[in-house]
Amino acid sequence: MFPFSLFCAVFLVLPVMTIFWRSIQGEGTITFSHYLFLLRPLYLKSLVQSIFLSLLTAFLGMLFGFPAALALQHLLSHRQKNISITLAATAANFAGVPLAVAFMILLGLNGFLTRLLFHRGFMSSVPFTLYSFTGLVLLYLYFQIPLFVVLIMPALEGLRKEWREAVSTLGGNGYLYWVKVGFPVLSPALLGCFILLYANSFGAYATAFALVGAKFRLLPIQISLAVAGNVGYDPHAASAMAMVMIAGLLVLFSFYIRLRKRFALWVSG
Amino acid sequence: MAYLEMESVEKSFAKNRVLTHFNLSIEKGEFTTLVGPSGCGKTTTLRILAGLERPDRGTISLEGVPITDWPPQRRQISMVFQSYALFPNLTVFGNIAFGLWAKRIDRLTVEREVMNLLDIVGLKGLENRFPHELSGGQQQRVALARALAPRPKVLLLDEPLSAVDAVVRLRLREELKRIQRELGITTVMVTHDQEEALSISDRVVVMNGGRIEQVGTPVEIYRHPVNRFVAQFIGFSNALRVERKGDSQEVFFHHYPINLPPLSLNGEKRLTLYVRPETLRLHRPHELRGREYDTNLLPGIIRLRAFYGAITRFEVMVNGEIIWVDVPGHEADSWQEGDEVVVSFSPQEVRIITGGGEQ
Amino acid sequence: MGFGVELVLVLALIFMLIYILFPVGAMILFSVATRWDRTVWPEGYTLSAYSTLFRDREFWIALYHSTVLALTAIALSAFLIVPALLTAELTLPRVKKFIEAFSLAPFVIPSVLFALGLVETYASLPIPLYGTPVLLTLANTVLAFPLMYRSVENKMHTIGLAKMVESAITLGARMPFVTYRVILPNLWSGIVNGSLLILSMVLSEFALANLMVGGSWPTLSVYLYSVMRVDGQAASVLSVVSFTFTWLLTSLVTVGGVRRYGLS
Ligand SMILES: Nc1ncnc2c1ncn2[C@@H]1O[C@H](COP(=O)(O)OP(=O)(O)O)[C@@H](O)[C@H]1O
Ligand SMILES: [Mg+2]
Repeated sequence: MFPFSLFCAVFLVLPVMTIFWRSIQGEGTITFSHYLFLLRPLYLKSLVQSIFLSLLTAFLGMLFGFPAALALQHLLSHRQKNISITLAATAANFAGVPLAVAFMILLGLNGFLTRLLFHRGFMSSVPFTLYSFTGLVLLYLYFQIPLFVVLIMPALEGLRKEWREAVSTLGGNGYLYWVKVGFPVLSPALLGCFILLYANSFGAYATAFALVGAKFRLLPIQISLAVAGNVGYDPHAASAMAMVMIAGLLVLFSFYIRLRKRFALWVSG
Repeated sequence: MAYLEMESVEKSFAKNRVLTHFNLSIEKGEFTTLVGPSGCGKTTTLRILAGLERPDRGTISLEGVPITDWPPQRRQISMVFQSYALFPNLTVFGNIAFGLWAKRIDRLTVEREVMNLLDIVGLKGLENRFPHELSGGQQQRVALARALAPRPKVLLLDEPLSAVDAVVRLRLREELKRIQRELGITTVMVTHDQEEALSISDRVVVMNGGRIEQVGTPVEIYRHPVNRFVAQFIGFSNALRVERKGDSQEVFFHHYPINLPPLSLNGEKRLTLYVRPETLRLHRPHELRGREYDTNLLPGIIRLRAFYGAITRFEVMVNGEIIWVDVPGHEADSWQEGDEVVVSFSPQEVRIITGGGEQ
Repeated sequence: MGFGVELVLVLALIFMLIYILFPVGAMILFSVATRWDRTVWPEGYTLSAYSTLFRDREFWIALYHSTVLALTAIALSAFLIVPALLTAELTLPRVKKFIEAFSLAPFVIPSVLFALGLVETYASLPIPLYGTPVLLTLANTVLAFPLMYRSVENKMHTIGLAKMVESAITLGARMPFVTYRVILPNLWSGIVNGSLLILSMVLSEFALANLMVGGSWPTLSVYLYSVMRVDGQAASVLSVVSFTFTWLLTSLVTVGGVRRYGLS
């Protein structure tokens, strides 16, 4: 009890408080001017890009992940399902530098697919570069889609067979079931998983850093430059951005917890 | 032909045979109850009737029309699930209206029908609640109203009262009976509680291991069980294993002779007699002079008394075997543990089941 | 479900499986190719990249660093979380919310921000922690909290540990006895589960390692990052090893363990 509290105080609470302090620390006074850095083109672009990247990959992760999860749940045998989920969980955990390496081999300037399309004459010039926002989306989807599948699985298992049967004895078909019961019951879980995917990509650093390097305009990367003590990067500005990120994530997580409670109430109640 | 019929239905899950040669006829407007130990195939029977499970063999017909291959949507048979299966995202109103939405009935009619049903099941004013905001008994009523809403031809109830507590259960039981009578709806209920089955039904179907053991009115089933299983599963019975001396009509429980109803025996050597505890009487040994000539008498000692309220149940040891005797009301007060007694019963109260000693 | 709908679902599943396996396949092929930059398929196959890597001293040093980091994080998080959680569960249920909040906090604080906070705090303090592997270890321990917490808490609930301990005590057992004969044996699989998740997390952790100590005390992923820029094939070998390891650990943990959210 006590060692745990002490440890948390020193290595968790203190660092967060330091960030907060740095973000409002002025020359002998308290100031909110550091937060104005967010309006500078560099940071504003980073914020917008981070949000856009996260929204896009969370949305695409859900778009591809949800039907895949339904297929896993309803169309595969128990064994096939377990193998696929293990694979999905592995991919969901496989991020960062090795992921960047894998995609460079596949889609880099001289990657396998790039060369295949080039050699076979499908393209005369390469219209696509992996080292870009688009490339980053492709990499993020590598863990976002499987992550959605793994996260939504328990919710799918929570949908009770009797609901479907009740609908059919009341004269309703599969379509009515999904419109009136299936999707509405799943909706808090879907939204909750979307939030987790968003947060997962909003804070991600390693994958982007390994692929597109330290100059790319994403919030985590811009903040990391200040950590590394690079000249021209102001720890106060970085702290202000960090506070904005933490606040955003806190709001999202509290919303997530509410959604999860709602779903638990529905499914167990 | 009966209103609802199951003919030679068989059903297995993998290698596990759940229903064997199952024949059942149900008349219009009747309240039928399937009763039997858990795992005997009651739920499976209901699911086959509802169309949620396909029988391997046999036919189901409703109003003379074979419906074996019909999907559940087409059958007009509603089911109340054991777990209720209320839709958690819909209000009470939405749950009850569901079957009417499926029929694309106009809004005003839906509203009127739902309000009417809320009135019938006694839930007026709760239409905007969600299922998780209701008590178990209220959820049960919503499930019932939901099943009744599309005006089904047959209502199926799977252990509808098993999930509510004892007091609510009794009240709901009465109400279920009343609603069924008022609407005149053909109903098939499943229960493992034999008392519930007796008190609520027009006809009782006793099942065991996927077979029907006996079908009859509650009184028939209770008073004239056709076999050992029914005698022991419905109500509570003493089982006296007796032996027959030679070819005579005389049988003996240990060395005590037992009189039976006339002409009730055929060739069997060993038999079991079933006697309900409430048909037995207790006497002091010295009171017995001048009793009717054919009354059966068994001397013993009271080992245990258990007070049940309306009756007191005595465990009487007769020659090393236990016989239970139920004594009503105040009469029981004069008997104590350790008393020497004589147990008496009339031959008319004995049910004979042949096939002897071994269980 | 109609046939059309089923087709869409199956296609989505196949798409996902291909998306997962295709890059991994290319990576494996590249790691065993003699040369693969002029032709569509590799010109020949060899395992030499593997033997080169395993003879590289720096690889073993990095592996050693990562292993030390992982084992320390596992041990520390277990020693900090398990007793705290037990005390809360058995005697102070009201404190549990607080422990949960701290244990799950790393979900809300991305590791880059965490690195920023630690560096800003300890660079200015007069204690020699800044830039050392010790601070990195402690930081990794905090990141490990949610994984250990979820695993142990989950286990505690599924087996009903509180009731179990209560009945042991009513049978007259003393607390040390209860700890060694009831609590630990029953929680053990939860602790192991959490440890595997932490192992998998620390072995591929990059942000903290790169930002807090970087090349001065390289861990596996920092080493991989440096290799990636000079030798693509060596990097592919390491990535194959990394994927295999993640896969093995994931299969060991109950099906569906996802590290980032500690779900298992
Ligand atoms: N979907 C199923 N798959 C396999 N076995 C089943 C299934 N449903 C029921 N059973 C088996 O059939 C038997 C009868 O079950 P059920 O009809 O639910 O019994 P009851 O309702 O009388 O308790 C049980 O042995 C049960 O295990
Ligand atoms: Mg049942």
